[in-house]
Amino acid sequence: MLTGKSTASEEKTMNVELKEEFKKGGFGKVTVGGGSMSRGDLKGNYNKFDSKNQISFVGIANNTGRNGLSWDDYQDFMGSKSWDDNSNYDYGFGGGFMRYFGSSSSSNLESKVSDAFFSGNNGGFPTNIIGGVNYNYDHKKQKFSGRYFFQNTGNEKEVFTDTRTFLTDFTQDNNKYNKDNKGSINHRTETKYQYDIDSLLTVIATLDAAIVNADNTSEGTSTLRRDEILRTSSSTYKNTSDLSGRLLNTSLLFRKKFRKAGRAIGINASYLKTDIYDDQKRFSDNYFYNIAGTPDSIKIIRQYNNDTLDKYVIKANAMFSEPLSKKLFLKVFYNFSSRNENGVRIVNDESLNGFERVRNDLLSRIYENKIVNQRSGSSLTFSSNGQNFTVGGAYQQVNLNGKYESPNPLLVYDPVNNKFSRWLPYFEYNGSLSRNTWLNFDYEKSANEPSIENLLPVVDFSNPQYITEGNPDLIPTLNHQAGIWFNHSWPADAIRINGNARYTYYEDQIITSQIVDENLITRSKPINYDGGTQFWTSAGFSFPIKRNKLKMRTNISRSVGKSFAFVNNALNKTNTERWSPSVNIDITPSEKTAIYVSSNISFTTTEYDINTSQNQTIINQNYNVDFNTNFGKGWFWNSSLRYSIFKNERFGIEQNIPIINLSLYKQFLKGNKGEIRLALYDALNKNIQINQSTSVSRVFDSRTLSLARYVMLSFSYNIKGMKTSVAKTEHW
Amino acid sequence: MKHFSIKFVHILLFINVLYMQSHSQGGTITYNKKYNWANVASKMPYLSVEEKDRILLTWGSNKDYKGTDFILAFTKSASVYKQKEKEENFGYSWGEDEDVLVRNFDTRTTKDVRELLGKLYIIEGDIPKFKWKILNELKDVAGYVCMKAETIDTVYNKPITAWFTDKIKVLSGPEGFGGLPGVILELNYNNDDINIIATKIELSDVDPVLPLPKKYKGKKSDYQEFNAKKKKHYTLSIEGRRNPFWDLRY
Repeated sequence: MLTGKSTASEEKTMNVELKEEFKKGGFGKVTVGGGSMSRGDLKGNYNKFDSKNQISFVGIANNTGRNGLSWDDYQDFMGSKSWDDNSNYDYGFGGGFMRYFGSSSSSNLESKVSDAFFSGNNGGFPTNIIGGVNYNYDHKKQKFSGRYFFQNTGNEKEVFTDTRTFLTDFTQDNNKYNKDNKGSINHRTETKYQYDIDSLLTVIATLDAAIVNADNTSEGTSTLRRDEILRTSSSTYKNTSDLSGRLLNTSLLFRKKFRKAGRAIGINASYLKTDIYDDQKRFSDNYFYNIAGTPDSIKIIRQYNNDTLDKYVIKANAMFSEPLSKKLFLKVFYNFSSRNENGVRIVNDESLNGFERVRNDLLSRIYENKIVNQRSGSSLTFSSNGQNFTVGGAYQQVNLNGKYESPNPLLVYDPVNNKFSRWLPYFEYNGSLSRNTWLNFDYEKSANEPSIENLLPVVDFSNPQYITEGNPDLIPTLNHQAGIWFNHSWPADAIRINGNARYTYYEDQIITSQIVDENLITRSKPINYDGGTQFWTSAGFSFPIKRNKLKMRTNISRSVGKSFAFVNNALNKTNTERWSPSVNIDITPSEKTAIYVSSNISFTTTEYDINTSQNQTIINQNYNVDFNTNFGKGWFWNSSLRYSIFKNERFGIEQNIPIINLSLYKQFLKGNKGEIRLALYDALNKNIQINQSTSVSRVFDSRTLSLARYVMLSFSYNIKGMKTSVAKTEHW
Repeated sequence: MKHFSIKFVHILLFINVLYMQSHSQGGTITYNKKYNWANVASKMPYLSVEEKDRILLTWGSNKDYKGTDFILAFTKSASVYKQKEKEENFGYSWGEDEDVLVRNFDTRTTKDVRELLGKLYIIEGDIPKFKWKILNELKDVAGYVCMKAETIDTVYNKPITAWFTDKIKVLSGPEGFGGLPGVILELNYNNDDINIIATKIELSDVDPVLPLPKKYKGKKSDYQEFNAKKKKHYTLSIEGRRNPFWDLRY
């Protein structure tokens, strides 16, 4: 009677289909806005997905610098690939994959599509045109993801900077005005294909390509004074750069698992190729003054630089893991990388009559660099019942080979041949001490190769008062790092505490050696030096004052650093200590109203051993209030006040910047799909970006003019309906 | 006609239950428990439609997730349900699930160890009763023809679907569910938030050694109090726009 296998399997099929149906979806939004000060905003995204396919589009055009891309936009664009393992397959001690967000290289040629979503607002008057399409496929044995991304960005920025440098008996003060006009057009594609040959063998192939074109013009004036009074030199300059670069990056990976769970082999290889061509102009008129304050010499620089840089990187990695018992796990790995750079920098000076260009053989360079890095290591992990201990060690060998010469064969330079090998120990504990308590402790020694910019023996005159030059004798920096973090929660009472500490000691840290001449012109060069340290600690506490109505989060962090620089062959030691407490209060009295109050303050004290009278404290304070309310019938109000105070008593600086943003919006159409918003940004017209910092033997203060008050009226349409809640969702 | 057939099935099941009291067997059932995080997270009532879709888009596909194995060991008079001791080692241990659900069929009582919000409880009392609705649907689970039954979880007010077989006459099942005329071989929470499916069934005439806790540590409580605490946390979390299952075992 209770038979019928066919009925059963039909039932099963139906269940499966229901689930597939459930995973279907799609959403999208478009916003069009126009405002005063010729501001405009256009943004749209759309995606559609089912259990096999995901396709998404994003498009943006704006000149507000505000409505860029957010975390949500990133997820909507990348879909299930949002948390895909980094295409970096360098095996090492760490267990899982780490995902890093943020830009890496200077010309951004080697950045990823994801970096575009996480770039901050740097002030100025930015413009953005962005377009992208992404497609993910995931079915049975095959996975594919491919995307194309276009970015046309620009920024006009005016910055006023005051820098004071402490020298043995006097100070050098620099007042500078700089106007930047940057523009770049990037095309980027990323593809990844994964095929499971069987349930134990997987092959993954990736191919990325990019084309970048960037135009920069930087012009301004700069004056140097001795002890704030005596003018020693002044300069007006205009530098331009017209850069074009191409990137190709491809990799192939095999991953083999075995019937015995945990046993695995991974092998991969990758090839990265970039070529960059940069056409630069370095124009400046430099006046040097005598003690009486009258000019006694003039230096006119009219340089035309042609830079070409070809680079290729070959990497190969292998890894084997084997569970030795239920609790012991062995991992063995090997990494190989070879970075090869070939470049030509031709510097041409304009002849006196201004019609001809004469090659400057002292500054022109033809160079080759090859850095081969090999590391082999092993680790043993003991893991049981929520406790994990790993000990490991690796042997690393780095070969640095460089050759550089002038186009004039009579000027000969020594080739560089350096070889380093090091033992790198590793230790990590990670586990739960009790229910709801997690603790992590780690110690690691690692080595970083010097960057190409620091290695190249090329003199850069882009700032004629601060001339930089690379150093081909640099060796890798060794970092000794130890860290600890813990967190504990009382979930029934919604209370959480956490603590962190991290200490780094640098061996052969790359610091600067500066020579300041009688006209206060600085020539700077990177060198290696031991003994720099960084120590950072923080503690956080989050608790409800009245559950779900009033919540408080507090955090305090302290960082202490010791850093060095050589100025006119004298060692300068600088100690920096920074305390930053913060408080956040979330007030959600009803479903219709949410108020977020927060404050963060930082006290940075810097002590200079060379000139203790210059010791100083910089205090930055930020106070924020956000007020969101739903009036009913689709009407909403959103306002934010951000009050910032920048203070440096030593220099008598105190600047108060209140920024108020207000918006009133109305949701309408069925399912709240439409929204009309009237927004007033920076109601008091006070927006300016302030930057204050100290570094070794130096204090720095800058003001960047930025887009201030404007009004904007915008319309948005969301196919799934607008969010009607005014309170933030807690993600963790 | 349909009513008649359901009634008929019920009568048969009743006869089965009577039969079960007199004659039984021992054994161990291995279940695979899959917690479909994206489905759970996307159903949070405070999210907008777009936010729900975004969770499914980003996290919806988790083909590589293998789930966790649990065992139900049973004899004629008792059953124990707990996480299966892990055989494999991938070089990292998250810690074990501490819940042990012990059912004594002779005294009809529990002596469960349950973890809730960082605290352990020992729960002694009557075996919780569920209001099952038996449906006339069949399917095959691990080689056994199973019948569908439905109930409502009293803490979360979410539907539970169980598939039980009358061929193994134990009034038990995974996660403390039982009281059906046969052992539960598959259990689904809220359609597909959690799927618990039997993967291996070993029966024998010799009773297995029940994996009872070596010692009982924790605060004494009963299910009424325990469930009230659970429900309070669930309600407060939802009200505070936070996924309660960051802290709660579903």
